[in-house]
Amino acid sequence: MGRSDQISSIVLIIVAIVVCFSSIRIGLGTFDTPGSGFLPFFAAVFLGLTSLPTLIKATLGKKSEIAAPQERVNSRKVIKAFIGLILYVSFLPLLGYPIGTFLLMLFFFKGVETMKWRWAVLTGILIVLGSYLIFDVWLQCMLPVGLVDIRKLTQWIY
Amino acid sequence: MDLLNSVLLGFQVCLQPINLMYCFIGTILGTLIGVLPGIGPLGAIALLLPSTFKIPPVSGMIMIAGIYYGAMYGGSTTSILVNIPGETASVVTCLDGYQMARKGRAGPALGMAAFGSFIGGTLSVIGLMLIAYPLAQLALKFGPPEYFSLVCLGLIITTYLGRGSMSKALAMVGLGLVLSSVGIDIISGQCRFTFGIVELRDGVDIVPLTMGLFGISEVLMNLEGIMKQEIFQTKIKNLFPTLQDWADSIWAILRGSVIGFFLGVLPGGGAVISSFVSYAVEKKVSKHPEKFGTGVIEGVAGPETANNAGATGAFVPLFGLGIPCNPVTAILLAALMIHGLQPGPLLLKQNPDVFWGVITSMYLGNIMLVILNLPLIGMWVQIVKIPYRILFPLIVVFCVVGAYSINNSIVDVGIMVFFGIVGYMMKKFKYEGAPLVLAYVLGPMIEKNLRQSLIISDGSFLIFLTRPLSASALLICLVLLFGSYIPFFRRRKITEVLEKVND
Repeated sequence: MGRSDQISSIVLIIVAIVVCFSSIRIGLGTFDTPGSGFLPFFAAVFLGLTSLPTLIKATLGKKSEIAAPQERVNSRKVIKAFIGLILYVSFLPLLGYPIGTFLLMLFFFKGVETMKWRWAVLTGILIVLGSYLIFDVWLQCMLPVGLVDIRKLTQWIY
Repeated sequence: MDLLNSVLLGFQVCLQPINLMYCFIGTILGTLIGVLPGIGPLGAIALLLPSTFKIPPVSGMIMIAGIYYGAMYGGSTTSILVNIPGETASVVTCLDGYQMARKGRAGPALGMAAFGSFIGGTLSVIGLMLIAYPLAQLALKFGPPEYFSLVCLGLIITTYLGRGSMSKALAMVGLGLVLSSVGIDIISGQCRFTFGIVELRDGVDIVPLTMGLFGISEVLMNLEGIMKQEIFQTKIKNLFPTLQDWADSIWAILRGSVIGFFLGVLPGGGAVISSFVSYAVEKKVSKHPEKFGTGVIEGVAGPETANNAGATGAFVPLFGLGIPCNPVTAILLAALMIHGLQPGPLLLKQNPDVFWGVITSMYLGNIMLVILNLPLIGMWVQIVKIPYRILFPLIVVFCVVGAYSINNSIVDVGIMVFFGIVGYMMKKFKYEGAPLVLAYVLGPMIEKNLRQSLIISDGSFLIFLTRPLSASALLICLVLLFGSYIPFFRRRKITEVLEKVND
């Protein structure tokens, strides 16, 4: 965990420093009349101080320690899922829930997992249709519409 | 007499058809969540929280509570039949439960898990009723310094009892407090850390935050590995344990109820630690400790009773003081506030119907669970067979809909995905999510009480030390923080306890 501890604690310390400066800018106030930046400032100081032991331990720790055998992980799947989710959030306003989610499902079934095309399409349609009917039509959650308003096409349901 | 009248009021509330229905839905959903590996009660409650916004507060709370203790029931099924715990509190059930299934005794193991959970849950509700009420009465006399110190104590105990490094857990508390300060400051009205995003003015919403940290990140973690779902092929028969099974288990059940309840009350305690401690105690007091791990029924009865008792015990500080002691009760606290209710002692004063309605619904929920679980075990086994490649896109869809439906905002979906990635990184770098969520929920309470205390005392921190309760709480905080270096106080990680148990 040495290297990853170093990276994670450095990231947290940077976050702490940024929040400290932002809190000062917002206004710390005084002890008898604490300002809006009072709690975030001390929380950030606490964050920084508690991240330091991890950094020190990871930096000064014994380097001769043999790394524990790593479990076999499929990081390609995770990276693909990351990218899929980020693209999904970026294009959701444009594509709307039904089309965007169907494409995400298709990506999960074909890109992340290895499902046959017909099963991937069928399962994707079933999931989107089921969730759309439950949440949008029945529970009236008003899911993102996108450029193609599918409600106009399915007005007969309402 | 007051207590009896209040219990009567509670039954009047929870026996209304609509509340019975939501109790039933909650327990069924909870069992389902407990059965399915890859999604825990926390993610499930976060996921279903938006669906409670349109129903009466008491019905919503009854349903959410049902999901929580229902998940404790469901978790045992996968532990016994698949050797995969449906949720963390059932990890220890795998040790003897799966071995019993291999010996053809899956039925008595599942049956005893259900009966143990019922007894533990019911005894714990009685404890909750007897303790939460006087605690709430006492808490009405607390001022801001007491609340500030008690909340700090809760956070420190959570980090102390956590599974990983204490400094990492403390850092997560700091990060949670920073996150809680995003949005408009309730006292001055000034915007903090919103980066010009209008949606952030109300702060980071609890639902996308927890869905990301516990739902999406769990999906990503599970995608990394290969989830084996080999169900042990055995005919499940004789769900009703024999007299000998009862004789072997009854003391384990009673001890599990007591251990579970009192550990559940502790901040950071709850169902997980209760089940581990119960197993360790059963092994210690057993006349044949060497048989533990080979399929003894006490090894199933004790932990399964304790995790249900612990889940109910966790409601004591929530209802008595308004202080959640684990992330699940933290979401419940948030749910109460979303419904416009004041958690803690004021809930008892202002909304006794909610307070007593939820508590008494737990009796009915436990009865429903035992009636449902035994005949439906076959169905739950079929559900366990759903392949993860079908399950994980479903979880993602529910998370997306849940996050979006709160404010009809795509920003919330973005926040959920962001925290999903953060949660995944945290899991990889061995940072726990529980202290972060707890600090995030308790942050506004800490800030309000700290600022009020300082205003009252003209800026003197001595106000926290001159009041006995506040000073005692802070003293315990110091002992736990710095006592790690003293052998007597050195914290034991759950993993160490488990290793010891296995030895």
